Amino acid sequence: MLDTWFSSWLWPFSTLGWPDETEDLKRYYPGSLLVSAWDILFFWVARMIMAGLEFLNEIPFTDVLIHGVLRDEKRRKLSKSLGNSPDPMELFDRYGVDGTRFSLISIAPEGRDIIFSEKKMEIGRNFCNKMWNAARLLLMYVKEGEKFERNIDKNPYLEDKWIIMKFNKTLKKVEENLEKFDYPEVAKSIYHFFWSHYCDFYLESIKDRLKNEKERKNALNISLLIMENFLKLSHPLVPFITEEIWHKLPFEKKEESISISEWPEEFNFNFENEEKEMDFLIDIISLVREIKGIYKIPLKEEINVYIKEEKSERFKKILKNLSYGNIVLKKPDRNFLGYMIDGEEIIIEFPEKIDVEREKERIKDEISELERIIENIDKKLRNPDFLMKAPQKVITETENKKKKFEEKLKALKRYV
Amino acid sequence: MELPKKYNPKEVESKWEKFWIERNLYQAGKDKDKKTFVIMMPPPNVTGMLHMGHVLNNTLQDMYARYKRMKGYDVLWLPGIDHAGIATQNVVEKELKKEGKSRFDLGREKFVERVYKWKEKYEDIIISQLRRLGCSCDWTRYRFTMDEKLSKAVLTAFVKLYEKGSIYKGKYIVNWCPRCETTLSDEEVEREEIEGKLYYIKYKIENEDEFITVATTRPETMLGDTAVAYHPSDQRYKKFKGKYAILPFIGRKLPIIEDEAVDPDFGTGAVKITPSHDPADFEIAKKHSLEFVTIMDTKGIINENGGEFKGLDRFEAREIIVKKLKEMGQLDKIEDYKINIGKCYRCDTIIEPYLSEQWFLKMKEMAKKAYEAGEKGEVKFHPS
Repeated sequence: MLDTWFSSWLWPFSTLGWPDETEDLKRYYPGSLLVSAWDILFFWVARMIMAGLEFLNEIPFTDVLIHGVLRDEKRRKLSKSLGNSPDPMELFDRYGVDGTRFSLISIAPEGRDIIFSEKKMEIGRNFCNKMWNAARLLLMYVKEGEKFERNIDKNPYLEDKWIIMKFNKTLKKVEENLEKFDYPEVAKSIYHFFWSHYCDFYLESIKDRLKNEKERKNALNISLLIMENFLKLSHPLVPFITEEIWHKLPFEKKEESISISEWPEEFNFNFENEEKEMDFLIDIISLVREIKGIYKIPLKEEINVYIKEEKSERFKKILKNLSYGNIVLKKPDRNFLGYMIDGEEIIIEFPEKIDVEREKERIKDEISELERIIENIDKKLRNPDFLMKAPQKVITETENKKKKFEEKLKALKRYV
Repeated sequence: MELPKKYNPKEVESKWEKFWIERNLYQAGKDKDKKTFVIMMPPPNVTGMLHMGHVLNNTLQDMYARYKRMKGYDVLWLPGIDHAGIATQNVVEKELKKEGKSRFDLGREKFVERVYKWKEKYEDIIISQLRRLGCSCDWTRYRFTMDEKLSKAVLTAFVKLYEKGSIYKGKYIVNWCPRCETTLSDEEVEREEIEGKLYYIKYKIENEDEFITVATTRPETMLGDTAVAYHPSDQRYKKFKGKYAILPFIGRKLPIIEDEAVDPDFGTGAVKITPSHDPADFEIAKKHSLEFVTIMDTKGIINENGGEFKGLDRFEAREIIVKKLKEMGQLDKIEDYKINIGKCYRCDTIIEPYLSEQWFLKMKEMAKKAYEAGEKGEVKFHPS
């Protein structure tokens, strides 16, 4: 009887017909990539290299991607006998295949072992739902039988130019990270682009255009085009949902599947200034929203914002639509607070009924209360008795609580 | 135009899974002008269904296959499964056991039939699971490591290596699993440290009233002793040089020898030499032209060389031998001692170092070439 490895070490070429000199052997040997967990690196991978050199004088692959082994939160290897290994098919039922795939790629630290917990599978499921909802929103505005061309309007809006730039950058990052096998970064870039740029700000800022019949087509054209390109970019990670949505997009398609369509290219534009402008605008929107939270101003209440430099009409409109902020030309002389964003001075004028000075006092009180709480937690965490006796779970929870309070404290301090 | 309000993964997934297969979208070689990109799927063992490790492994492969395909490559992602040898035999045997049968009850032919039935069942499951995961492999080139053509490759490789002189036959100490009744490679043995005992046994010196005490963690193997050894610098035993010790139970005369390999700090500094059941003793025995006595059969049962203990399991034999030595006053003492044991990675049985005639393949040259290729960057590891 032969060692098991005596057949598997020949795998890269026995599969192609060796020892016969087949067409396949000529065309596909040596191969390109082998993906393997580190635990069988010497069992198998090293032996395949030896066999390749021995029988064909060539190494069977140029790159070996080594990934970690899945472990549970107690760092035990997932195994059937320990009962800590979920049935993948059940995970597919609960989180979708794409959801599971995306989560696994996101949580797998390059090469190192992966701490698996079912909770983490929600990352991918939420991502897929977000993708679905965004596509659904856009498609609601597309009329029956309406078709679009894949070109960028001669006069894209500020937000269009911005999302084009963000897409270009994401594409580049995804390609770079795929080429250097940093797959968790691939997932991160895709997720960040879609969630923080495309959904949170881009779709929000074109809503007024979608609702306006004159501007609807132009807004849809660009948003759908970016959507299509984004689907292609994500397809290798989440093949099913991207295929489904791609078929629904109102573009002519020459391929029968997104999986054999062409990989996207960068849009040949340079809107660097507009990208900066919109980034700046987003910072202001976030500032206004946050201030409203801290000073307990209703989200939909208008608030005056003074910026020294003149801004475009679109800039003003988006600020208003997304944060109920009004750009004013006159610097307020009372009841205001000033901030610096990107070296520019932003002044927020507060509504009459809010006494900024009194509010500041209130916030200061809140700050000292928080500081007191944090100090108490600190004392506890320094107490050897507590550290010895408390279960690890309680200690971790206490540490997390502290972190949360510290974050809140940091946010508050920015606003006084 | 409208999408359903809620995303329904199951519906969407099964639709496209079918579509991709029916359209045969991922068959390689459709456009020979394109550059190739080739991934060979690590073939899952046919021992069972896919686990999370397979899901991660194949998701990463699929990600690259899909990316490169869209990038304009002629992608070949070749899928397959591995027979996995004894591992598969084991799972089938476990299944038989539930029916109260062993592979010997079935006989060779029926057993092989049973293994193939298992293979077909799990092959179907594995393929359907890979398809559900969305794997964009070329199913027209699907392979099994025991396909006729792949078996031909195995035979060819063996003959080529044999003709080159790289394959030779020899009697060596191997890792032997008495349950699987087969040899295991070093990597197939899982090492672990367990709480064991160190037994101090007194061997009488021939024609004298003196004893030499040896320490061992495996008293049952004494039945195969063919010498007693100590370190040449060890003054305690110089007086026994050239004399003989008498092996209890068996009565064999054991030459008392000196060897550098003996650790004077272990136990009493004197050790029993059991060439057929210990790799270090095997080496010593070859150097001193000692006798080789194998005392177990392939199932770990004491054989006729074990005298009165013939027919006992190796661990039963240990207990009885220790008890008898005590009665005979030849057991000096027992100490707690941490010992390193090896277990069969497939069935967890404690392996037996065992003298066996086997075929071996000279790997040194091959390993060197592979290592050099890695050093030169002809194959890149990520992360490196």
